Amino acid sequence: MNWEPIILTAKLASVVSVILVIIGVPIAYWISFSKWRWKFLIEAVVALPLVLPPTVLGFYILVAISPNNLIGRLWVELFGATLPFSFSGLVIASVFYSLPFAVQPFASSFETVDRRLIEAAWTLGSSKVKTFFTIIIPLSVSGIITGIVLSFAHTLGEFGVVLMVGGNIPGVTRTVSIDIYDNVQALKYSEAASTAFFLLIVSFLILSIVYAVNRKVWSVWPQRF
Amino acid sequence: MAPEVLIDIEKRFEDGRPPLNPLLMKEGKGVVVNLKLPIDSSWTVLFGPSGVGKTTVLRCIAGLDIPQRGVIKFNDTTWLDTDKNYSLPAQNRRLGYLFQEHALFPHLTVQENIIYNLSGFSKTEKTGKLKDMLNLFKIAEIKDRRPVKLSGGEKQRVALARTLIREPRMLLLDEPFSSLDIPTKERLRREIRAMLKDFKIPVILVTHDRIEAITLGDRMAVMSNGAIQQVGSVHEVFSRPVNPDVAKVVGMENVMPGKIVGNKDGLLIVRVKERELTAVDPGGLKEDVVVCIRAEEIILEKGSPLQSSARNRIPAKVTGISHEGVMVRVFLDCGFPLIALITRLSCNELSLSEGAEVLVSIKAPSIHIMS
Repeated sequence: MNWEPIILTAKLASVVSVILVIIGVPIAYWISFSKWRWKFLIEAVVALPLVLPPTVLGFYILVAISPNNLIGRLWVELFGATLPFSFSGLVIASVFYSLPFAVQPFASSFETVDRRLIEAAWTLGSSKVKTFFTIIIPLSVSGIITGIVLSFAHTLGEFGVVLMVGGNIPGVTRTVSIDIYDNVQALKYSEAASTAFFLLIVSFLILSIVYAVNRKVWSVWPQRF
Repeated sequence: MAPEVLIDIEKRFEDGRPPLNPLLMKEGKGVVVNLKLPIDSSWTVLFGPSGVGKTTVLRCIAGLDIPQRGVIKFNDTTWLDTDKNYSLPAQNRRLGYLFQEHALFPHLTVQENIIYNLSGFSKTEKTGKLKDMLNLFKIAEIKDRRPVKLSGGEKQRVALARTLIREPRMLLLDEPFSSLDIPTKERLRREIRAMLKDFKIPVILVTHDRIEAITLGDRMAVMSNGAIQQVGSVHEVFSRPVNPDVAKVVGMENVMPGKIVGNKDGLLIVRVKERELTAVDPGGLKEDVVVCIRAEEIILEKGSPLQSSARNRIPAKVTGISHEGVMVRVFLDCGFPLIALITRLSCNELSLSEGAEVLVSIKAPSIHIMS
């Protein structure tokens, strides 16, 4: 088995998960507690990658980060490198692609925190930021773990967006799913099979963690009375 | 000028988030409140039927809701002035708010709940204050438990301790006893004033329970139709409601002070003015009590007294009659003033008129005795 794409993919998924916690938590907080009447528009934008074909998403991201456009040009000026077909470009694309998988579990767990507990903390003099870290986060742990794990798993298995934005450069943008596709194209079935099986097992383990963490909430077994 | 809290607010519900209680939507447009309360250690009862907006008033005072129009001033400090677009955040109002279901943080132990966000004290001061609270509210043995493992009464004490440890300037209690079982409710009701007396802060209690209002309140503000209808001493509000709305809300016309003078066969003898009444003993009463009798539970008789099972039969004189639909409110003097509510038919049959002599008949269980 070729370990290079596996290590690359694991690195990509880890970086993306960390970024998604940093940007996903504030977005989810805003979605849960904002009273802005047009909020649903932002919710729709966040959920868009769930329904958009990866090639469409990948196409727009590729155009956006190309050096001919603002974001791409800015990046070149700041870091002296272009984004398309690079690891950084892949990270940006994957963050967008996996955004709903982080934000939605975060937001729904924030929403289930009893408002009265939040208000009680306020009347006890706790600032909104302190209330968030001492009350909301501890009571949303399972949702936060779910969001992290799902976005990690989703990034592991992405194909279309990676192909559009990253291409197929070994050691730079060649992820597991592209490696499998490549092997099949080259009729190297046994190599494809071992990598595919590895990905299957990893995905299964990750989802098992999610369901184990959330057993109380989303019991998959019939209730026993 | 004596220090006082000024609350003059108007909160409408037609826009924005629907109110927590859907009954409010049915009832009407919102609440209008104008109230001045002294800052001493007195208890004000905000009394009214469910869904009238009592909790909304409390939430506005606490800064959890912002009314469309209004001013709230605590002594010299302005908490809210909508004209100047100013609202002091709930965090900085420094008042205690006891939520209906106590709102203890489920992921923290009792002790962690109590010292949550307690700042401005050294570590030893903090430990000392915590110890005082644990002793005062008799919760030292349960300090390491989580809220899930507490009984309703214990939760109540923990919530009180958590609020009072930061020495709030005022305490707001939102139906604090409603989620408790009856024996716990009665015990806590008897104890709560004693537990709070050292804090010397004004308390606003929201309730729809008459007994809570009578036993805990110094002053009563009656709410109905989204507004405060009457503010006065508890005795005054119950005995002299300013309008039919208040009379309907308080529901108990006859409230008077009495003294327990005897006890036989499980029945209490209570003296009201120079009359003695027999009532069922609810237990745990001191000598000075409040006697309550619902007007509709008073029976009027005329002519030669026959034998009757009613324990209390008192001769009285009719001092006034007021017709209210099919019912008639009869004002009586039987050594103390009494109001009876009877049907118009009975009134006609007895041919009652001012000055008529009648016999008032009240069953012992119809006389409610409270301390």
